[in-house]
Amino acid sequence: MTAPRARWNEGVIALHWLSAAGLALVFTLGLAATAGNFDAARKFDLYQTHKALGWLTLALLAARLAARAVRVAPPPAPSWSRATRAASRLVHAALYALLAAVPLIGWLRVSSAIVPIPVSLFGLATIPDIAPVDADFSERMALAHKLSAWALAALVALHVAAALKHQFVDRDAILYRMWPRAGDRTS
Amino acid sequence: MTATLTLTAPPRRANAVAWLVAVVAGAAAFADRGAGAERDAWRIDPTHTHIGFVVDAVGFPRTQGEFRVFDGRLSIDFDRPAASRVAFTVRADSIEVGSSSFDDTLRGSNFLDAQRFPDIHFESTRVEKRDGSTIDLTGDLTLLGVTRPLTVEVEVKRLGGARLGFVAHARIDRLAYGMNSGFPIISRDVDLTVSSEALAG
Repeated sequence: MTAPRARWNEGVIALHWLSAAGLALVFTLGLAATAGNFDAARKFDLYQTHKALGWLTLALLAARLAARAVRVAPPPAPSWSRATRAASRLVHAALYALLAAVPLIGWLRVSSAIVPIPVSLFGLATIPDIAPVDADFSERMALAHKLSAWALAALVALHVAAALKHQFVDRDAILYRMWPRAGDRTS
Repeated sequence: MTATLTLTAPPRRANAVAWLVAVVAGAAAFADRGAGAERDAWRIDPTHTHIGFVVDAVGFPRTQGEFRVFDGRLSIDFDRPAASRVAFTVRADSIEVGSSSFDDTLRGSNFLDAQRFPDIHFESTRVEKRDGSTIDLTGDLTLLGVTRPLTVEVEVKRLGGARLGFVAHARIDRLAYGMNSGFPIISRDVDLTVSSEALAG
């Protein structure tokens, strides 16, 4: 291959992997907080850390969307069929939608909860509530948060599986587009 | 005979409330024995003293914590235990539940509001002997600036020699003091338990 292959901007790549790491952590903390067998103090800390990181993933998503708005996405691989391109667009749109929805629903759940424990960004700032207190609404948001989080986890699994399939089965070097510090290989 | 003592808690693990309850309980337990008149002072063993509380919540583990800073005064009438008096003050911001973030939340305006109401105060109005080993200590509890009557049940156990064991229980209805946050997810009842040992002299 002679011409440099198309890839994402380094800033977008950094935000992508930061988001991936944050998401893995916040999902694990959420699982531990809800399903883990811990005492009240540990559980409180798990919830608070989950909430703070969840809010940060939302802030990170805003930065990613802004970066996407100003940076041109690399073109699809030439080998991709129309169907593959459509599936990729669909999965990515759903990923972005859920990346926004899951923390927003969580934020609504926390804001409307009877138990007033606001999101604290590690003691540096307190995130304001965005909904009035309403026990029934809060419980519905809790369920929606859980279901949408599992849907996001399933989509992430699909996203990862598809990337690995393209990289190692189709051998279309898809990971190169999103791999950090890959610039060395084109110089 | 009336003995007036002022007990000031040491900086750490000092549970003057336990001292007070224990000394009054001790006085009551021995009040109808002639020798009791000489036992006007008891010293609490801090390594065997704990004042804790338990709060339940729906969908959350039972929260257990303690208050670490107290100050109190008491006056004991060994001949007439009913004339004994006890007063104590608990520092609201000395609450500890094992997580500094959780502690801060409980100290905050939704719960103890420790900045506005730094002290939780108890003043006895009546000491009644229930049976050989139990007394009812009744008084006024002031929490969040609201004063309500509270009865503390104190069980006294002789542990041999000049050592007495005490276990005191009280159930506080936090709604009565205007601490409504989180109800009914967080229960209205806060169970208070003071366990302690006192030494004569």
